[in-house]
Amino acid sequence: MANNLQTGLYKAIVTLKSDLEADWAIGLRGNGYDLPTMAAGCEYAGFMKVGFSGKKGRRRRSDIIKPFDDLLLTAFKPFNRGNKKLPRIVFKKRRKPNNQYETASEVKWFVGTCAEDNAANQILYGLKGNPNKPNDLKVLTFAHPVRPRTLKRERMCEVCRTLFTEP
Amino acid sequence: MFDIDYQVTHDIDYFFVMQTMEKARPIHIASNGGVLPDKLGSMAYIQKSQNEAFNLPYQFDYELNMDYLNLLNAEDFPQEVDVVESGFLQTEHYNQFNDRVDLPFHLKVYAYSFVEMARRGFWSFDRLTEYSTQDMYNARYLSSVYQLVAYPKVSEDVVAQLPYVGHVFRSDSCKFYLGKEKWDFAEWISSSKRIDTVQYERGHYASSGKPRINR
Repeated sequence: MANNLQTGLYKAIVTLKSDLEADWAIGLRGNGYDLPTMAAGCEYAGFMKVGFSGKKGRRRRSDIIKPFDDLLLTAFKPFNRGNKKLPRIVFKKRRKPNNQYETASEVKWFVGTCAEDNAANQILYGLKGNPNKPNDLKVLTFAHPVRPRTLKRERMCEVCRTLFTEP
Repeated sequence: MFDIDYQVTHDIDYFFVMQTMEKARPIHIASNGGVLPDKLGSMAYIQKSQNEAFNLPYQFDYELNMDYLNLLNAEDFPQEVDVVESGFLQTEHYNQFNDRVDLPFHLKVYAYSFVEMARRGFWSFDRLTEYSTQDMYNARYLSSVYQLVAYPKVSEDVVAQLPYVGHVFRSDSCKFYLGKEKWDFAEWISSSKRIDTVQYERGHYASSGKPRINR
């Protein structure tokens, strides 16, 4: 099954690329028309979804359902929004800034923009109201995240390794 | 400039000209989710340079930087069957490698988009993200280590005809690994004062999450 998921991920990348190339041919470039950095496949109870890294829009933020939201809020400190809503960007402040990057005023970690988050959200949103909906994100199965430009397998980021099971 | 969220989640192609004493080299970089240098210019300018670059014809032969490509692990790439079935490499992509029969399949998968840029006249770089380090944030988003993947095979008299696309900005803040190839700008970089990381102005990471726009 994992192989099917990985193969499905490659096929989704091909579809994405062909769509993008059609847009590029008519001069659509830049904001919204660049290749995503990462693609990930997620599977649960026979459902397979492929997600791409991307910025969280207003619509997608409202799609995030409770288990994922709660986990994010317990795992990471929200930024300037209280504890009720999922923040747009959650970050961990460094206590001692690294000397190498001391010119940056503060360091943020981007949460919820990963391809894994996108794929997991699609699975969870599809199962909304279903009694078989998973309460633990660790039960979701993931394919190896892949960079769409080169199809090179990459490792999950630190945040996703906390939330999900690494393949 | 693009929204900071957009920059870290997209693999943006950007172009500039590395200015040397008398000559200029057109450079292509795949950002690989990195934060773009502020000096690249406005979003409209980046879009314009992307459109210009991708509309250039293939007019050069290319060379691959095998010093780097040989370091890539074939296990990190899919099997040939998967890629061929999915149609990731189209016929026109394959045709680029007609003269490289010896090239392993995973390197064709990796390098084809960089070769396309080299055939248009660009020295094509990939941004590396080093996950081995503990400092993952800096490695993933701020790493300014670039690796040359492909470059056009040109003689010096052709250099003047190379395309001029993108914005000229000081690239001495980036660390380039050039492999065995030595160009005049490599010497220029090594002789000039170089910092290993991209330096951002204070306030770039404003609490609003939006980058400061420098025009």
